Amino acid sequence: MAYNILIVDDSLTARTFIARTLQMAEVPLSQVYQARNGQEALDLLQRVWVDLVFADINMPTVNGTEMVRQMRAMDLLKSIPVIIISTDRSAQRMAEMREAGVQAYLTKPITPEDLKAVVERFLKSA
Amino acid sequence: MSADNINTLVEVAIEVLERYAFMLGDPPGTKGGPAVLPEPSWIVTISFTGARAGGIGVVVSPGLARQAAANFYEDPQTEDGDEQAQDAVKELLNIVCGNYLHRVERNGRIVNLTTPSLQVATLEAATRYVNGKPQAMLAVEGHPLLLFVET
Repeated sequence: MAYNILIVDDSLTARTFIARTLQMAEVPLSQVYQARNGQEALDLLQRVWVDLVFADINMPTVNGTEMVRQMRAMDLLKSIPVIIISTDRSAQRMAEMREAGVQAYLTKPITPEDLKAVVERFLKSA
Repeated sequence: MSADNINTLVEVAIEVLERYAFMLGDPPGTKGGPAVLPEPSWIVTISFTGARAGGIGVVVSPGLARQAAANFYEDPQTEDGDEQAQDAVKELLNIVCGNYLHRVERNGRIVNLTTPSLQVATLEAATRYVNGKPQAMLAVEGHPLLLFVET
């Protein structure tokens, strides 16, 4: 089975790095969508189905926290797992994001092993 | 900002460059390392507020930033205003800052980062900008990379 993944980050470098790291981890991919902020992601999710979202927190327009809160309030999107990939390593922020409804929290720099582990945890059991 | 903080910043930067950009950085004082800022210089800064307030920055050459971008992108641009190279060095500083704050802010409290900003400067302007700030010069793949702390 191949997966549709959405990567949300305002940095093109970060989005490219995550996409390449997914390939290096040999995650079977059907489509990899990209969005530059939470609003672009929410708009995109009205048109396409994804199996998993990787998102940053600190983004313009709609940040990662608000994006997750909005997704959790929508019947269509509330079951999609969201994995945060952030530079913010504070325990307080991680707790805040768990409360908002994220499934896992990775800190940059990430490794192929990190990504493979979360994909297996949240998708292979689905 | 103490000398310990600059040392921590140097350690974190070397680790992030190696793990994320696949670039080897030599610490300050390395024999034969660069001693002067590049011309032109790209000055990239990031600020933080919350449990800890302040900022850090880096001065790099466009050549080093392009080399970092080439390591990130399968098909790097060579023109178009160096957009990818500028984005790459901003993202690197973002990661360095997050990891640096994790080391110096030990209580797990929230520190909010700004989006990194970049300005292109002459050697003279860059020298003036960092003058008097705690700083350390690294050699990265033969290029100078100056880390500094905003005071």
